[in-house]
Amino acid sequence: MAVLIGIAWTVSIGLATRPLFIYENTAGMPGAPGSHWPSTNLIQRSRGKFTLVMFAHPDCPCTRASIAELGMLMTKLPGKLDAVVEFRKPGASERDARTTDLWQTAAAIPGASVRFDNDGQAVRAFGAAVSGQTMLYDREGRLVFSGGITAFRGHVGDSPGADAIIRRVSGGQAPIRAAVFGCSLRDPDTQQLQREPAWSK
Amino acid sequence: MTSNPVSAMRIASRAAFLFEAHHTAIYARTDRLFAVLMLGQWAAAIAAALWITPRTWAGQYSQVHLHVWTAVVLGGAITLPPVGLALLRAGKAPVRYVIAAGQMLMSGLLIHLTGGRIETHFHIFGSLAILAIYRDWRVFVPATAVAVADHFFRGVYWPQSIFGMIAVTPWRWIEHAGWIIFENVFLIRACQQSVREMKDIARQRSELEVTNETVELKVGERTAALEATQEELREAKNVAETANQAKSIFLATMSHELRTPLNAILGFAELIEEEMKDRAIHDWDHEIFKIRRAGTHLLALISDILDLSKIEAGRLELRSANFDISALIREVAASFEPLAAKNRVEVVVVSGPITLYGDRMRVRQCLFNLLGNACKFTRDGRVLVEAAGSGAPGEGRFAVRVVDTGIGISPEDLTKLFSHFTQLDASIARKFGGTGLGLSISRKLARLMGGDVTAESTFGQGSTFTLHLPLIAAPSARAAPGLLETSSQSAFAEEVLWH
Repeated sequence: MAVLIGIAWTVSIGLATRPLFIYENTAGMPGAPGSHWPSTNLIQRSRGKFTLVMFAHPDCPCTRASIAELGMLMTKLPGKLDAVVEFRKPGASERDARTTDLWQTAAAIPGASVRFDNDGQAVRAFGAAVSGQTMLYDREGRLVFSGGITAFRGHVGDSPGADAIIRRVSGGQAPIRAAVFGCSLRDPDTQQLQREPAWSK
Repeated sequence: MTSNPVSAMRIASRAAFLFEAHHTAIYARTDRLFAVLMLGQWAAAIAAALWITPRTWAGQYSQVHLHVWTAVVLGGAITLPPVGLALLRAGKAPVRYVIAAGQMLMSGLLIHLTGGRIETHFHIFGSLAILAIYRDWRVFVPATAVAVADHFFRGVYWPQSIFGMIAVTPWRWIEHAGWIIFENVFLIRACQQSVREMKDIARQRSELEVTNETVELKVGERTAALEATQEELREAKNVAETANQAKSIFLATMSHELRTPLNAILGFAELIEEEMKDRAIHDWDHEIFKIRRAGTHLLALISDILDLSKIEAGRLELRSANFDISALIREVAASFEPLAAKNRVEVVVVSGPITLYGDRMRVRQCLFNLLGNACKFTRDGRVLVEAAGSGAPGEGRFAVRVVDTGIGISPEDLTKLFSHFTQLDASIARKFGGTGLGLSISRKLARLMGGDVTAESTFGQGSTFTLHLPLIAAPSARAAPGLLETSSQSAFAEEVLWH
């Protein structure tokens, strides 16, 4: 009897863990970034340096790890690249975003500047879809990396994306894509809203 | 402590029981402690999820983050079974093993919910330390097994969730397990030491209990023996009193039967003496005198025995009336005039006219004994008789003190002075005569009258015997003034009867 209860307990814990495992390992939409810096003046690209652009949802808890990893990258690659963290939340103002811990943490990273994409033009221009999505452009404005810099949702630590950026900036070869784990930067479509009524403003 | 094998076994058995009871109480108490702790952890996990990852977003839309539901559901799945067991089956071994496993699972959940923060790993080490409260090293087995298995499986399949990185060596979990085992070594040692101390305490308490039981048993046995002895003594006393009463009745009867023929012998001896005197025959004077002297002594002895027997048999009746004690003292003193003269003793009576209410004959008998002894045991000395009283009738006391300058009595002889047939020295009987019953009878008579006879003496210097009597209210009013006179020393007169 005790063994059966033990097995039942173990199975119930396993079953309760499974959705978490799936959720944490499910990447977001990869988006559709172009192969070159977009023809827009919304964000200034650095001349003679690599430019890193990270898109972030100001309320996304998963992005906390991405910004922490960005801080690590900027520490590991001092002076070799400039970073811009572009915050985007449909319907929200820059004033709302500035009060979040994500904004304040990103603003404190050396070599990084922080912007708010008020009408979603930057998101559309760069083809971003998910909070935490990071794009690296070389000195000529070519896209050399697009993806996330966390290994999975909301956890700091080594990741393929961060590793690829370090290699690229250091002149090496690396995969150009990596999975992104974070909240969607865009509103869900109507069908999804109807399918998952939990979504709310 | 004890060399008795039976006691040693009892101590060992009791010590084992006490130790088990103590340890079980600790198990149950710690189970309940963990029940509260685990419920608190569950609440803390939910609070942490709500604080760190409250909602997940899609643009401007949001919903509750999966971490919150995980904290609620997975946290509940981890917490509720151990808590339920702790509340329903507190103290049982499986309960604490389930709690140990649950505690480690909760560590894993908390680590995950806080994003793999290194600080949250301290929960594992803190939990192990708290598990040590059980003082049972076995709890570290499931705890360590769960923690190591968690690190192993997550390290293989989900390394970033536990180590915070993807590319880790397959042996990284061994490093984590090593730190856990490092702490376990010291905690297990502390548990074993604590258990040894608990066993020592249990043994000491057991020894104390067994010693107390032994003492109580011996006290019980001794008390029972004492009570049995007391019962035997009571029975023996009853038998002795019954026998003494029977003896007294027998003696009273026999004394009466003896006195009748003895009186006849004395009467006929007197008749023969008178007849011889009339015929002027003196050849048998000496023999007749011997017959009369022996008969008179025998009669006195029989009378004493008769009195003693009556007193002891409770058959002596007092006949009270008013009488002048002063006159009685002088009358008794006068009867010893020849003896006093023979021993060259000065007899002095100090007493005024005093009227008492009591049995004159028995008071006379007491005075006769006391004064007779004083004259008998004094040579070339003085006998003082003082009578004095104080207090009101019904409450006061009256005393006659007979003070002599005779041979005195040693302190050890004073203690047996009032026993039956006791003459302090066999030579005394030969030298001074007497039956050895006088003082005993006097005291018994005095006590029968509500008083007493006491003695004080200095060996070689003299003795003081005192007859104490109560001042009894006389039935007639005319007795009272006489009694009150006794308190007035001025009414006393000193009279030297003989010198």
